[in-house]
Amino acid sequence: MEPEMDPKLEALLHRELKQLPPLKAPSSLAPGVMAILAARSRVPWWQRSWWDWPVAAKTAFVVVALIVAGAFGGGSLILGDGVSEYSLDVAGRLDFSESILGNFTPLLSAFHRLWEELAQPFLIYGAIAAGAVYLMFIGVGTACFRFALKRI
Amino acid sequence: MTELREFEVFMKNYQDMVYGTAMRLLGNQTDAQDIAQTVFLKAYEAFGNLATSKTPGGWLKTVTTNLCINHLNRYRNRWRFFSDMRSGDDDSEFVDSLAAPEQLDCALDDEQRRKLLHEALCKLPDSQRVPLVLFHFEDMPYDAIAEKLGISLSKVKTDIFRGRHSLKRFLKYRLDEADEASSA
Repeated sequence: MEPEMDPKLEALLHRELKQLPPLKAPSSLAPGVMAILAARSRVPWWQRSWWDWPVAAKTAFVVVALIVAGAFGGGSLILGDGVSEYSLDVAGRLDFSESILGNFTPLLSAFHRLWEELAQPFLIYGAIAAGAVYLMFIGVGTACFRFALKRI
Repeated sequence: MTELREFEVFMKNYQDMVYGTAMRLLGNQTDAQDIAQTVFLKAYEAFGNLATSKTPGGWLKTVTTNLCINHLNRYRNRWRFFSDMRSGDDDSEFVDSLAAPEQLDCALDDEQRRKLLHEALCKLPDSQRVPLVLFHFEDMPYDAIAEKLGISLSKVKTDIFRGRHSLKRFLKYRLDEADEASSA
């Protein structure tokens, strides 16, 4: 239910509040703002956020980004079969890395087995325990906070 | 004159208005100064438009009001979980903090009474002070306040009603004067 307003009190309070003297800003406000602005203006443009870059730099960035994206996307279409041959050549040269990795496979599978048998269960139980302790501390903290607030 | 110099002049023209708006909405000097600083940093980013605008004061007031409301909402959300948030219905702490009745009954000059009224306004719970300030200082209607604060119209009216009654004791002498004048 809405309260019944007292028009006399409303008008009087309105007048009294309007007559309150204007508040003066602290003397440190303007120097503080100017110091922040001065510090910001000393930062070179390329270290500022992209939105604060000069218009020419922003335009150049967009153009270069589009060219790079276009080169990646449409490069194979422009270069045709040459790209496929080149990529096969590069893949042939990198074949040796596959054999090196092959030597590590037994070691990796041993680590995987160790993880499954030993570490994984402990980690799961550890995470559950940590979560329970976290929730318990939140509960205790909340109770203490409310108790302290009542005492104040 | 460089842009920074121009902005400094601009800021000095409006700093009292911005700080005063923030102070009355937040009731806290430190928070009001922080908000005023943020407002002027935003104003500098928009200074190209503001410098030629016919109503920079309106822009500054709107930004200040919005930032203050956001600040209060953030604070409220942060502490609600821990403290049950002092509800607007619980005025006991506020009433205890006001000047004692005998202090108000004795002969105070207008300046002292206004100082007490300002202090009482700052001590009102946020839920009462903010709609009261928006109504009386910013001349916003009830429905606009409800929309701005994201609460119901009846809640706005109730909060303003309660805020006015909390401050009524500071106007008792004025109400008595008005009664005497009307009965004479």
